[in-house]
Amino acid sequence: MDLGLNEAQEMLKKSAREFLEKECPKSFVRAMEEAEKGYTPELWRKIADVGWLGLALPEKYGGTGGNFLDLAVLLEEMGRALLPGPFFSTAICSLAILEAGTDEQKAEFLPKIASGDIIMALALTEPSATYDASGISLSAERQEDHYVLNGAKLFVNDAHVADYLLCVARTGKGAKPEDGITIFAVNAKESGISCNILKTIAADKQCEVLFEKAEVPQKNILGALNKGWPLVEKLMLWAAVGKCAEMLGQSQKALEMTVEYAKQRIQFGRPIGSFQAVQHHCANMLVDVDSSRFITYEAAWKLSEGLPSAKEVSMAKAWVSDATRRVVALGHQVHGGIGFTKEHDMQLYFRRAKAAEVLFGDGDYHREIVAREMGL
Amino acid sequence: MDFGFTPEQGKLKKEICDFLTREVTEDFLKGIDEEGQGELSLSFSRRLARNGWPGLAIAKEYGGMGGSYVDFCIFEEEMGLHNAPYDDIYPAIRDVATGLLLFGSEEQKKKYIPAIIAVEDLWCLGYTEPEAGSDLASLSTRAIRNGDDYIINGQKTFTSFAHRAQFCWLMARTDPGLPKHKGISIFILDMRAPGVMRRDLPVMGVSRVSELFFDNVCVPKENLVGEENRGFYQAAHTLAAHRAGMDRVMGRQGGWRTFREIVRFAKEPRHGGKPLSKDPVVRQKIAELAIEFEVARLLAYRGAWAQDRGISPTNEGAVSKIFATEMQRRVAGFGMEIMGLYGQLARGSKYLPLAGNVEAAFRDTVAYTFAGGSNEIQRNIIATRGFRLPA
Repeated sequence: MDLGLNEAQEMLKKSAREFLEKECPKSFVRAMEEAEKGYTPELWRKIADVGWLGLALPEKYGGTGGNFLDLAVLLEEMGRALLPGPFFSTAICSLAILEAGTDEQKAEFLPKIASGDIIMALALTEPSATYDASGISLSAERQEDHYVLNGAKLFVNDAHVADYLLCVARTGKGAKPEDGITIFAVNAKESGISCNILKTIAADKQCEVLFEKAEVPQKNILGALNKGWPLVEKLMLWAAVGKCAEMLGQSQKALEMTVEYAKQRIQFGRPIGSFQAVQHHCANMLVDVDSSRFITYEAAWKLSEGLPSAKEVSMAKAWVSDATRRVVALGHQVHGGIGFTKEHDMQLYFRRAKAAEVLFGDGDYHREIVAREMGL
Repeated sequence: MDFGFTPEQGKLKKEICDFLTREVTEDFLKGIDEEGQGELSLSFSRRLARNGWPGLAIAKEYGGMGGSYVDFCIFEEEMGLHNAPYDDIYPAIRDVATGLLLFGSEEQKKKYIPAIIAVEDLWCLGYTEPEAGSDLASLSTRAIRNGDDYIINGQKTFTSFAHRAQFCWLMARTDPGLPKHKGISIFILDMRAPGVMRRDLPVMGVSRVSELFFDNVCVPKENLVGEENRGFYQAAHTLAAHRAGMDRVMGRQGGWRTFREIVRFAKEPRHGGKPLSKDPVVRQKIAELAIEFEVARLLAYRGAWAQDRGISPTNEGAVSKIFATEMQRRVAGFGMEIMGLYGQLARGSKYLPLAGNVEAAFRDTVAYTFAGGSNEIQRNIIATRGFRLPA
C-alpha cells in the first residue's frame, strides 16, 4: 500500500500545475466560455507538444506509455485549473480505441490523437438522457459496405470541434437492451451530421448532434458488431473516474481559495477564519476533499491495474459527485457576496462541479449500481 | 500509488482472518454482548496476543513484530470485520505504547511495552476531568514533587476501562504557575496504589466508564513520562495516533457488524412479502453507507500510511475520527429507521430483532462524536493547526 504519487507522477503533477497556471489563467477560462469553439488551437498544440494527448498511449502510437493512473493525476490538475476544451473527450475516446480497435484503427487514429491532429468526442447519450442501454435508439442500418446513421445525440461534449465522434448506435434488437449496440468512429464532417451547442450551466460546449442519413464505412466499427455495450461500460468507467479526478482538483482548489479568503477577510475587526462557524465549514470541506482523493485514486488504481472495478468506480463517482457539490457550496457560504459575483472565480467552480456531477452518472445512478453489486 | 497489499500482508491478513473466524463465533459474540468488558473478552484478547499481532507496528526490541502501521491497520480492520472485542487492546497500544515509544525512557519502554503487547497489563487513560473536557489543558489534578516521588491529588471522570486497568496513563498539573498548556506532565500511575478510588458512572451506552479519585497517591519519579511540563504536547501526539485508528470504522457499535446485520434485515421479506431492499430509497441509503464505509476505511489506512512515514497524524486522525464516528451514528440511525417499531426492542425482549445490536448501537454511538475529543474540537484542530487559521 502506498497512498502517495510516485516520482514521475509528482513531476507530472508539478509540471502540469505550472503549465496550466501559465497557459490557462481564469481570464482564459472566462474567454472560452464565451468563445464558440471553447478552446484555442494554439493551446491545443502546446498540450500536444508536452505529450499529454499520448500520456496513456503506448510509444508505438506516439504516446509516452503511461497508464490510467497517470492520466488521473493530470486530470486532477486540469480540474483544478478548469481547463476548457476537448482534452477529456479526446483522451477517453483514445482509451476506447486502444482497448477495442483493430491494428489498422489504432494505427490510423492513435498517432494522430497523440500528435494533436484530431479531436474526438463521445456521442453516447440521447434525448432519453440515461446511461442505460435502453436509452440508445440512434439507428445504424447497413447498406452495402457502409452504415447509415439516423437519430439524435444529446449532451455530447465538444462535438462541434471534433474530427471524429465515437457514436454509440443501435444496429439490432436482442433479448436485452444491451444487445444490438455498435460503436462507430464517425467522421464528424460527414454530410448529414449537424451540431448545435447547448447553453449549459458550465458553458462547457455540450452539443446536440443530429444524424440524418449520415454514412460511416463498415471498417469504422469499433469492436464487435451488435456487441458494443461492454465497451460502452468500460468507457463509462474511465469517464466516471476521469470526472472524479477533475472534481477532486476542483474541490481541492475551492478549499484552498476558501481558507485563504477566511484569513484575509476582516469582519468585526478580525479575520472571519477566526470564527469557529467558519473554521468548521473549512474543516468539513477538508473531510470531503480528503475522502474524495482516496476513493478516486483507489478506483483509478484498480482500473489501471486491470482489476474488477465496477463497484469501486461507482462508489467513487457517487461519493465525489456529492462531496464536490458540498465543497463548492460551503466555499460560497464562506466567500459570501464576493464569491457570487461573476468576476470572482468561485462561481466558475460551482457551475463546473454541477456539470461534472451529472455527467457519466450522478450519485443516485451510481448508488443503484453499488446496491446491485452488493446483491440487494 | 498502490491500494493493494504485499504478498506478506495478504498472508498476515489471512492468518488473522482464520484465527478470528475460529474464535469469534455467534455464540461468543452473544456472550460478549451479555458481559461487556469481562473475562470472556480478556481471555480471548490474551489468546490473540500469543500471535503477537497487537505489537505488529512495534519494534522487536520491545517485544513487537517490527512491522508497519499499515500492517497494524490490516489487523484492526480484520478485528472490526469480525467484530472481535478490542477494548482490552487498543487504548494501551494506541496511546500508551505510542507515547512510550515517542517520549518514554528506555527503562519504561522495556518494562511496559511487552506487557501491553501480551495484554498482560490493561491501561486506562486519565485525561478528562469534571472541569476539563474539551478544554483538556485546564485540568487541575495536581502532581507535586516530594523527594523521589510525585504526590497526586485530584479527580478524573468518564474514564473508560478503569474498572479493570492495572495502570493509568495520567495527565496531571506539575506547575500551576505556568500557562495552562505548559504545566502538565504525563505519569504512569499504578491503579493498585493506596489512595486510588473508583466509582462507576452508569451511562446510556454499552461502554463502561468511571470516575477516579486520587487522594495523596504516591507515584515514583521514574514514572514521569518524557519531560516535566511537556505532557500536553506529548498527549497531542498520542491522541492523534488514538484517533487515526481503524477500530473507529469497522469495529464497535455502528461498525461493520451493525451494518452487515442491517443489510441482512433489509433483505428479509417484510409485511406484504417484499423485502425493504427492493425499495429504491432503502437501496440508495444502504449503498450510500457502503460507500461511506469504504471512504472511512481509506481514511484510516491513510493515517497508518502517514505514521509509517514518520508523520504524527494530527490532521489525518482528526479527519478520520470525524468521518468514521459520524458515519457510525448514521449507520445506527438508519438501522433504527428501517426497523420501525421493532427498532425499540432491547436485549432480553421477546420479538427482539438482530440480537438487539442496532438498538444498542443507536444508544452507544451517541458518545462517539464527543468521546476521544469532540468532533467540534477535531474541526478546530483541522482549522487552527492544519489550515493555520487564526485561533
